[in-house]
Amino acid sequence: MKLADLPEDTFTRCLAGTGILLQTGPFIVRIHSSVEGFAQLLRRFYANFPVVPEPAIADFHVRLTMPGGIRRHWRPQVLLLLDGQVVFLPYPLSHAFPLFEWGLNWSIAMQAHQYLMLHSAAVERSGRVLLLPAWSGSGKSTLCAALVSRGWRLFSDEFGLVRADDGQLIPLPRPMPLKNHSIDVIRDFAPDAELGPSFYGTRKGTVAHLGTSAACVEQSAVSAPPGWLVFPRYQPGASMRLEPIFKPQAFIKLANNSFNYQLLGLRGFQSVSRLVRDCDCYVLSYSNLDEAIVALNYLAES
Amino acid sequence: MSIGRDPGKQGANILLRALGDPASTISLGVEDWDLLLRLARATRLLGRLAVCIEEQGLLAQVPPRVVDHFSAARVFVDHHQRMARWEISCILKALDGLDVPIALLKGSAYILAGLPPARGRLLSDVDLLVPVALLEQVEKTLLGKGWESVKLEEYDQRYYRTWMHELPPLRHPDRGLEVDIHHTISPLTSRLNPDPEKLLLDSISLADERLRVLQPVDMVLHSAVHLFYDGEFINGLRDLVDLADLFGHFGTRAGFWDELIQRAREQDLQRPLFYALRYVQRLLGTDIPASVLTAIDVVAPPRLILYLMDRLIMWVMVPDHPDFPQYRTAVAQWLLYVRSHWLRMPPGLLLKHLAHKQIIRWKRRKPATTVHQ
Amino acid sequence: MAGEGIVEAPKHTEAEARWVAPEKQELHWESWGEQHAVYDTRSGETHLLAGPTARVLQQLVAHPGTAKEVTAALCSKSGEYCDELSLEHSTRLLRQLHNAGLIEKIGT
Repeated sequence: MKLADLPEDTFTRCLAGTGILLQTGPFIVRIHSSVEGFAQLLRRFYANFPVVPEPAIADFHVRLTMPGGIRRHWRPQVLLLLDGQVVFLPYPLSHAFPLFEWGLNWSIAMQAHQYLMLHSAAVERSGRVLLLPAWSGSGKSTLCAALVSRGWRLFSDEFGLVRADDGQLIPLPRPMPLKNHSIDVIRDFAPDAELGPSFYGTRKGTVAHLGTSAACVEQSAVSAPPGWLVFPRYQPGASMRLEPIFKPQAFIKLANNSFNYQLLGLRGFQSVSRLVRDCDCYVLSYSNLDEAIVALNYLAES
Repeated sequence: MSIGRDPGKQGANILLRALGDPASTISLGVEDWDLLLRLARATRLLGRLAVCIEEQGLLAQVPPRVVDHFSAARVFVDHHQRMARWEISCILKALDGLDVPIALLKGSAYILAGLPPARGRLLSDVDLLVPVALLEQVEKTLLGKGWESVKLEEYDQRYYRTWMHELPPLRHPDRGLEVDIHHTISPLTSRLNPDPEKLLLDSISLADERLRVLQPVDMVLHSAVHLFYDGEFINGLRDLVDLADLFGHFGTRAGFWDELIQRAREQDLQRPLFYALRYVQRLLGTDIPASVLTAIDVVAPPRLILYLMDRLIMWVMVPDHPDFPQYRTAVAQWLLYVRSHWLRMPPGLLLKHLAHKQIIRWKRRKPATTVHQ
Repeated sequence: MAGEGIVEAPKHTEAEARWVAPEKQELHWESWGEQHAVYDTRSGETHLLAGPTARVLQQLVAHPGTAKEVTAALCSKSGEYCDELSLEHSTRLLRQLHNAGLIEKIGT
């Protein structure tokens, strides 16, 4: 059963009570919230996601609540509890949804060490995954959103989840956060895309989320082998260049673009080695999304 | 002590039973597993649980989702243990040429000696014991070879050196692991006065002869002192599990129990031993010979104190349900902290210390937990 | 090698020092021609080594030895002529490996 199929009153009751169990990629998340405004956004962005029947083992326990005292009423705030712990400073109440998304990302990055976790976008075409490893500010989320709107299957805009024993990538579809200028870029690029409300004045500027298609969510259990490592760099005014790089360089760049390479020790070394071995490796400089996509499509077809 | 009647601690039975008898987890339902994973993670015992279940060949009978959590926990364990071994290796290299006996303490000792408490153990620092006469030289050598003194306020520096039983921690910037160098196992001003000379004299060398560990009875007593008299209960349950492991491992050796009681008497550590035996039995179901319990009973504290300790220890060591934190737990933690300092310092000094700490907290308004933006 | 900047002449004692590397199973390699990544299981560190440095390390893994012995072994393997410059080169590489924490001196 999808979240959208749950009757409204059941949804509201569970969310405020025992919690809603949602599946996203390989993870089950138990979500509690009594915070105004969050319920509608959760229901909207996770409409296509499966609700897990009780009882189940949850990988993450997330609770949104309001701090006590004066901030309940004057410039109200929202507090995020990750497994009962406060990890982030409170956010303005209106930013509950972005806080939830960032909090869940943080939890995954802190805990899911059964995988090699790359800081990378991952999209699939023709049965192989294109990895776009890059830290924030490189334009990877915008590029990822653009690729997805042009037919690539979304694995994740943030996490390249690599399974240790067979090197396969694991999908983790979630709403895609776009920041500031990217929002307008994607609105122009893909007018039919489901873009959520803009949240102003967050710690990362203005943020809006791109919804996840039902098809994409339906295929969350379908893993795929890696095919290409492309390190993207958005450079205003730059002409498009997709250049092969030597494997040693790709190795260094990939290890430096991991959440847990160091922590994983030998397994991290072996996973990254294998990825570099199995993939064609490139750097991409671009300023025009269409050009970048044409080049990447060509890569997938050859 | 019946934990069952306490609503905030109800789930903790699951954790205690799992620790005492890992095989019992096979019959757990899904909701219990959900809670067990959370409690084990909160008490830093998830890796331990994972290792014990695997040791007994039961991994195949555990839900696959749990296996993933176990794998992730093992990643942390392997990382911590690798870092500790490497740090010790680097310390030995740095102290090469210095004729100084080095005894490993706590986690480092268990890991390098391959003892049962090493299973699934996380550790955030390396603890060493060296003779007090060589302390300055050891510190100087390490500082000269790249280690740095962790920045402490001047007051804390003085506190560490004068009143505590260790140097302010050292850390090598390339690696970041904290190194605590002790010259005794109980603070100088404490009413307990174990003789560090004896500890080192009777220590046992490992395969690498440059390293030593305390002899079994001293290892047990040190663990008991650390748990019940240092005042830090962050890893309280984990430390109790260490003790249970040590009793189980050494308890089968001929003469161990008699020697333990005897040594406790010699080193003036009978009270901590009393508490150790009492709580491993009551919380973890560890088997302690009746004769031993009788023998140690003579040093039991007065009834009222024992009643208080039973409650405080339960509140502090047995984890709260993660969704229902109990205020009482924080109070118990504070009371035990004050107690440990009461035992450590003369009363006048204690008040001054606590007052100073309060003033610092007020000035800095440190949040209780680490927060990220 | 001329033009490379200041190179210290190897000290007498340094040339006599015996070097030892980790055991074979303690190092894991991934190689691409003349470039190598090596993972040291003892420290958890990953090092990137160029061909010549990697060969020195591999030689030491097989046989602990002095700079002279390592140089001689590598020269004979490659069939190249061994001279003072080769020894100088090896000594420099040994120093790099030592700084990286990969090899240790075991007395003279």
